[in-house]
Amino acid sequence: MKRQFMKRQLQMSVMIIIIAAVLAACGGEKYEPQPINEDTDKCAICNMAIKDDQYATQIVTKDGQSLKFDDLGDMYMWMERNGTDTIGAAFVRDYHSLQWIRYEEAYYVYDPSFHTPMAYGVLSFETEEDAKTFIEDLGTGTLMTAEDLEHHTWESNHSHDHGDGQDHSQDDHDANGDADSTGSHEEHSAGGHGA
Amino acid sequence: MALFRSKLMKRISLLMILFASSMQVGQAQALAEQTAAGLPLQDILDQAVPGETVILPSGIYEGPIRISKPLTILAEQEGEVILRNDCLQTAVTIEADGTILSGIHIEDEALKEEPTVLVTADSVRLENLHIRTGAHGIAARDASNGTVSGTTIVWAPPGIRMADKGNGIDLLVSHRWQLTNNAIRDVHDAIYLESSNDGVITDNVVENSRYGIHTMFSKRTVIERNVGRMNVTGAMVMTAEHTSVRDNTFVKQSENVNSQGILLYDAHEITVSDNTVEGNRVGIYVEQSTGNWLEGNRVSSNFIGLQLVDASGNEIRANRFIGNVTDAQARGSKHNTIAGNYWDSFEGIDADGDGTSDIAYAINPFFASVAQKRPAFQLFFQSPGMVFLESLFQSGREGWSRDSSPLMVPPADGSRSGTAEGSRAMTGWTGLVLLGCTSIFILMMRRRKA
Repeated sequence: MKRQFMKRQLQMSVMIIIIAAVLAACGGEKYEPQPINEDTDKCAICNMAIKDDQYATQIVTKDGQSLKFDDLGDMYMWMERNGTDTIGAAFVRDYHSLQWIRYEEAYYVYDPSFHTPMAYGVLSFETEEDAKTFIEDLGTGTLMTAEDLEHHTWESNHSHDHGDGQDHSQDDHDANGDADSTGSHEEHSAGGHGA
Repeated sequence: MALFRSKLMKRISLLMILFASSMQVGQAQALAEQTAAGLPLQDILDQAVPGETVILPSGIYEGPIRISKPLTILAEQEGEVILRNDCLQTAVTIEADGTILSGIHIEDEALKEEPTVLVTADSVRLENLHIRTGAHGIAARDASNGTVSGTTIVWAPPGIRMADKGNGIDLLVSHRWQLTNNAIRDVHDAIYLESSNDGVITDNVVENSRYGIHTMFSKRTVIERNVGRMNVTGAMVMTAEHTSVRDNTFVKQSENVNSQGILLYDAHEITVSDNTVEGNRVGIYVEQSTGNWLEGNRVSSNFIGLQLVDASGNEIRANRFIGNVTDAQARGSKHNTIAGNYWDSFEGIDADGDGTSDIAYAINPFFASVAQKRPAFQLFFQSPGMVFLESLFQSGREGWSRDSSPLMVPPADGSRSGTAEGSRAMTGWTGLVLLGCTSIFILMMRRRKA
């Protein structure tokens, strides 16, 4: 009788150990994106306050620290400076739903005319279809994957000012206006009350 | 009888309202509300010929309006012409070069995307306006050589978070604007310039906003004699060249965990001189910036006076750092010329009597590095243990940012030290007077006894 009890206890503890191990393994793999706190979060690169919008990105490091960025370009800047070894997971947001998605799995649309916080002009989408529709609707933009982004030049497209800008009817800026009017509300020219 | 009386009363009060409103335009509101919803300003403008000066009689006018030919629009009596806009469009759209709009109150209080005043033409002058906005107050798009002066811009809708507000003045690809003598408060960024060169921002007061003055991708901006209070950051100069930040006062940028008086990021060849930076979380913050000149600033009573992060090739001279919890923090910042500043927390030795310390003031990077790696450790800012650890950390001392010749006493700078010196003199005089009173009192008491 006592022996049986001992055996049971042993079984129990083995089970518990296995369950714990499995849970730990699961937990160890999982990097959760943190929500953006507009009052306190600032971009780990450029120091700007981060708006809880479609341009925000974040890296969760292997030791669980969350680094947030106001523009995908700044996240790449961080990777360039610090390498990718410490990164547990990197997240971007779906342009429409603001859902966090793994940056390797997202689809990207780039155009110099897109107005993002640091003017890198890369937008992220959860599905390829959404990205394509977006390009079609605007009539401009290049579809990219995370792999393509690694070869991207990451230029901040703010050189609207040719020389002294005495006269300034730049086409790229006109395109900006178009982007706004299609409802892709963005922070700088529209105040960003939506989201 | 009662009915008659109440009718009479009504009639009398109506008369009184009419009388009051005709006498005092301040009550024009009451009259206008009786006449109609407001005077159709667009009709008046449509009848004007290009180049005409339209002087608006006092009253309430109905927006939105679109100015598509050059006009000078003035208020007959400043502040008594009210333009009210209840729709979600822009209240005032200016499409004609050389338009002047002056002395008008614009009430555009709905929360919306479209700016209250939108300028898309060159050489537009906006003067002495009073704007209550639920979006950007004044936005300029591809419009240059404009002026905004004497204008007040205030955020209107209550209960909106700062991140969701619009900017006070928002310039995009708009060069050579003069923004002067304006008062802007409770907005997102009080003054925001993006890709807009040669802006002149002087004598403005910016308060309770996210960033007081924020420039991005803009060259040769002049930021002088402005006052910023209680913003997240007073002046934020980002990705800029040849900007001058001079004689400004930034106080109490301390309410937010990311606050600072002046921030330079990716800024090059910027002059930051003779500013007063007081009571902020960080006084002057410089990151990823090169070739800048910081001179003669009075940095006092901040948590951190000067913070350098990956900044190199900057020249930092003759600043005074007084009463900061930590005068300076630096990491990853080499090859800066830091000389002849006064750091009041530093105890130097001046054996040769030349007024500068013979030992350098070296900025220990320990805490800055720890806080970067583990932001939560900022809780240990200046805690005894951290200070002790910091004093133990001496490795790589040659590479630290250091002031090679720290001053033994604060640099003299004539007029500007007026307030501090003045208050000190005041204290002295008060002391003397009190002492005098006491002496007299004692003397009198003695005499009485005798």
